[in-house]
Amino acid sequence: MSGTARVSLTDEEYYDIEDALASTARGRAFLRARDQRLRVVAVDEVRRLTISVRDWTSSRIEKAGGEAHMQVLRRELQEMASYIQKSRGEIAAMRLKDDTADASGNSRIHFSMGELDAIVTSTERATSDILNASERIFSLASDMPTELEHVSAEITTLATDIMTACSFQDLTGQRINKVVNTLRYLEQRVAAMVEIWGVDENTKPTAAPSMDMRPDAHLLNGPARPGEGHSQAEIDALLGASAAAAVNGPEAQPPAAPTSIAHLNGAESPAAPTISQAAPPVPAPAAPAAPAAPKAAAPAPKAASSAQADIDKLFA
Amino acid sequence: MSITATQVLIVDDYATMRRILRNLLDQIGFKNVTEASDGADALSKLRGGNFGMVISDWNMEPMTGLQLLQEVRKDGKLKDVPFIMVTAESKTENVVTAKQAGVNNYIVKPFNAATLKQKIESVLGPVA
Repeated sequence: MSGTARVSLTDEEYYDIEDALASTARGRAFLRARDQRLRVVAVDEVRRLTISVRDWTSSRIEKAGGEAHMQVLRRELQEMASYIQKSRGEIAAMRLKDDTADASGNSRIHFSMGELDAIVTSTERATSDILNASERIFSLASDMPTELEHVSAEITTLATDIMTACSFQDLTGQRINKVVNTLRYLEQRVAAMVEIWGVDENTKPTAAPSMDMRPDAHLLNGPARPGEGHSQAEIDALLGASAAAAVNGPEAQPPAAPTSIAHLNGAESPAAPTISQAAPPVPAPAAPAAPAAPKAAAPAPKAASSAQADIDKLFA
Repeated sequence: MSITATQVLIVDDYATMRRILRNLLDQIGFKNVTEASDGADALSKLRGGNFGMVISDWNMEPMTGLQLLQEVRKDGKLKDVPFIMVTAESKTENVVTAKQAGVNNYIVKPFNAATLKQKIESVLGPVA
């Protein structure tokens, strides 16, 4: 049949051939077999098409849903990344090494602990000085002539009051130790967070708003710690050696004057003693009697603690 | 023997506080005073001496004043030594715990000379 052109039938020719076949038993058998085969082919075709449509629909639905999930996931990840970045900035700000840190570049928390230690040291020194003076007053009072016995007794009583008031040093020391322990705990937690979040020197710290809004706040650093700041003599030298000599006399010449104001702030300048270390105490003029200072409060809040009177009842 | 001849042991980790107590005791009349800086130091001195009264802080390391009190009360030789707690710990549970451990009196910091003298007299009797 190859090489022969396909012949088309008209409707009339088709029905004539069909009628011819249907006129014999074999012809009718042929027609039945042909119809059956055509039906099977059609069913298979429909089934194949149905499966194809179903698969296509499923794939489209799955694809659309997956994209939506991916968008949500991407957004969540972006938010998480943003929070992590903020956290790193906050942690970096907490361990920020700035001009409030000490010379070794320790963190603000560490710096605060150093300040508290300095408070304990300075109050201890002041208390010791007061106790020395009180003991001297006791001694002088006991040496007073007998005709001034009543004065001596009053002086002794007042010196005793001064001495007992010095117990504030013990109480404030205990309170400060509590705060130092809390700061040490915070420092450890910050160090742990730094480890977890991988904060390094390059992490940009979150800018913290300044709590002191005064225009000269940057100059207000409080008392200098040992090894920082300058002695009165050095300051006098800075402001003019002649003026210092006039005040202190020729035997109290200040040390060589720093060459410039920049020397005061220069990192290369040698560690200078503080004013309290170097300058001798200046006798204060007699002051009028001041009202009695309030008693130091006990560490525990009043509501949670027992008064001495309550305690006495337990031992009555 | 005069009450003021009693040998007194002051126990406090703050040198300032020990100095204040020593001076106040001196004013009251007690001249025979020894100092210890924590419970363990105090226990060692108590076992090696002949003390008639202990005036102790509570919050000390490594051995606290309460632990010292408990050790003193367990010790056959020391169990009757008068013990006054002088401390900033002023919560009721502290006072009750100390009382249960056998403390003879309890002074809350800050205190004054009159309070110290009053508590000592309540434990040892009137001081001349």
